[in-house]
Amino acid sequence: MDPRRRLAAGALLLGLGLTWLASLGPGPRIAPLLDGVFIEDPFRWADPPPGAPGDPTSAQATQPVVDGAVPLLAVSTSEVPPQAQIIAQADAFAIEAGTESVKVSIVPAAGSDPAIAGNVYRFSVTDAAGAPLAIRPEAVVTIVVRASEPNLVAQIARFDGTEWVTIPTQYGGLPDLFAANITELGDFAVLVTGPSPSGSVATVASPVASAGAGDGTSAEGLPVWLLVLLVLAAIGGGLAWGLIGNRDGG
Amino acid sequence: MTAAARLRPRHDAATALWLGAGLAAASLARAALNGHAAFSAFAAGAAFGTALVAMAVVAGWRPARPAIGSLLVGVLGGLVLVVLPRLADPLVPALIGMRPEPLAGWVLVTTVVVAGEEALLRGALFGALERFAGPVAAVAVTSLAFALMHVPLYGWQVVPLDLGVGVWLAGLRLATGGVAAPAVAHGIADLSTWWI
Repeated sequence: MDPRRRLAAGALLLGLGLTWLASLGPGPRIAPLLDGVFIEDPFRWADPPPGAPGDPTSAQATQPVVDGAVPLLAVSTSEVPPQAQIIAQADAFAIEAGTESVKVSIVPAAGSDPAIAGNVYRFSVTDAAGAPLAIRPEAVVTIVVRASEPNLVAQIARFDGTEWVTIPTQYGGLPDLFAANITELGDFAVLVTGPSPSGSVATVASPVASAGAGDGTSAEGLPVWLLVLLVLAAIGGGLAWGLIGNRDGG
Repeated sequence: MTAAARLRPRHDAATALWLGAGLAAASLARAALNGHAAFSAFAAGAAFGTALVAMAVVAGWRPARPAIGSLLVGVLGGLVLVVLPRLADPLVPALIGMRPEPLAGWVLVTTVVVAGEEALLRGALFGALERFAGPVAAVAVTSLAFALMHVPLYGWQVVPLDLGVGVWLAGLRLATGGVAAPAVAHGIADLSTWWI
């Protein structure tokens, strides 16, 4: 067998194995989702205002411990996009010797603070006996929480037992997703920290909201026109590069 | 060595870089424009697929008439992608929101998206990387790009699955020498989500 065919066979076997493992892995099961076209689910409220959808999903997963450490894990609720996700690097949680598995849980609850845009999510990681695990210092654990409407000036906040404390937050991939690295588990929510382009967060966004980012801002905080311009620049730049290349190549 | 031969690796590296940057910008723009309505989702998907095809063509990729054998390999590859996760878990649910009406529009736009992704990833980008850094790098980078480009729309949970699928599609590209087999496999896997 020539090297190229051997490599092709290896890639096919590896792809098959990875796909199989991903299908067996922890977290909510999903269909073989590659791409296509989809419509974002309306936000699901734990305590829905009149006319708004309820029944947000929770997520539970059991993660086996491998070589004395919790492997990289990603657990999400099952809306599209997920309303809450946790992604932890390998060995992010402090476990006792002999621990065989850990349980990851994300549970939604209604938020009582009017500044909360959406639901409160309780993130917990416990050992098999239910004892909570702490995040190791230096470990990177990221949560992504969806707000009830896009383009809010907001931050993820953690409830410290008496009040909500905001933590450094970034956009999480869509205009209504927020991401933050955390050092403690517990209750988290998206907390509005500035004026919203569409008014008060107490006003429920329509289940069928208007298309795209309302104020022309993308998921990463860049204007949509700038992203479109970048795409066009990539095409134009490539065209120019190809012409130069052809000239150099004779 | 001719001047053209000396310039070729640098040209391929630059091509791979700008294709990667263009793919990232297109993925983010699509996520930002997708919205909650069928029309915006269709428009964003169609524009995304078209932009990817345009980038691939500008990079020098050209569609070729596929061999029957490649198409058959693609059909088998697609069936594997549909069946495998269901063998692992027969109760695996489809995601809510994956079926915007009408069916004909959805099939058309999904096909454009698949064509764009395959033309760029397994066509232009794979070719440039293979010439510049070899087939192993081409498989690794295009598979990683395939997994990451889905994150803005679907979340991090799809990365393991899409990484595996990306490697599988790259294997089909290597095995058949063209884009037809991975494109057919990808199309079957995507279109099956309407029914299962």
